[in-house]
Amino acid sequence: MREREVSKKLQLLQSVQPNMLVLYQIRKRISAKKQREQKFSMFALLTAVIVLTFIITIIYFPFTINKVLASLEVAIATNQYDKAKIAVAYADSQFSLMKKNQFKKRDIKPISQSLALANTEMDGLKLMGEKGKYTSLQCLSLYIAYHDSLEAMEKAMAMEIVSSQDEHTQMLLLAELKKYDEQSERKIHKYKK
Amino acid sequence: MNGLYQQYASSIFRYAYFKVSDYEIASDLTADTFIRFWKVLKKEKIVKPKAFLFAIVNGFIIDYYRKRKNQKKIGLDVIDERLLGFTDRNEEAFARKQEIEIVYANLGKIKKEYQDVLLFYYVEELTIKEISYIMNKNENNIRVLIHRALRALKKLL
Repeated sequence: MREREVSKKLQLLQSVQPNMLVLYQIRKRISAKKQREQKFSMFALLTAVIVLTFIITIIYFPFTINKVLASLEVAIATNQYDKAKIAVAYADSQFSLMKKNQFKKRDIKPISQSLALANTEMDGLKLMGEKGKYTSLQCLSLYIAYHDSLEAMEKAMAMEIVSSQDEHTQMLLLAELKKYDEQSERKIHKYKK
Repeated sequence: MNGLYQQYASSIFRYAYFKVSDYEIASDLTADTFIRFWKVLKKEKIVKPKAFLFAIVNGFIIDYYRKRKNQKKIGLDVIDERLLGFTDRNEEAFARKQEIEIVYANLGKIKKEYQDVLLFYYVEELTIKEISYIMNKNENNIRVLIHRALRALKKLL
């Protein structure tokens, strides 16, 4: 057999072809895979953006992220005692953060907001307690802890005012702390009566 | 991309089928080839699409064999009827089918490199340049391979 005849025989293999249905099914599979990949890359991109935003927020806006988390916790708490406890802990942590940042001016507003929240939630507590939720003793205990916390914050603020140059905003915060502290003291006295 | 699919899907499928002797696997490999092609096309321009498609499917076939851990040679006696497309059940059609199967079976008996080069050159009608790109050999080597492969098959037919 000549090589030419062999090559013609090989060309017979060209008649081996997939039918239209197979080609259509393969094409459908390709389209489906393309769509899935496109959706996945959109999803991956979105996730990356969200994660990056979250990381940036945590690093550069710790007060903001704490506020969001605390607000969420307070919102989902099932009773007033838990809400108040969370809000007081939040105010404490915000103040510690401010202290760590050396009482920067831009941190005063978030502290003020956290104190306002704590005060509001504490104010919502019923001194007699709520049946099945919290007792009056728990209430008293929380008020004492809150009062101690506010006193510590006042002292820290007072010391800072002496040494810093930015007195005005810090004085305003100190005044707020004194006001809340007086309110908490009044509540404690009511208990003792 | 649609145009390229219409133009080359059949060839890619056929080549994959001849290499793996399995209809379903050949379908999978064809789909994977075009998906890979599409991914590359998104990033860069492809100058030789036909050669590139064959290079991709060739790579997938090598991976397939590697996973199976044995080199399954092509050349079963029987080609899947769905691929032969004969609507006539007459003697002529039967004889033609047999002829195809004889070539296919004997192709499986020669060296893998010879099988590849003959399929590329005579069945898929790729140019020497394209085959040298796919097989990563220079054009002279490809010419020599074709000549030797043809001789090897001639001895069997």
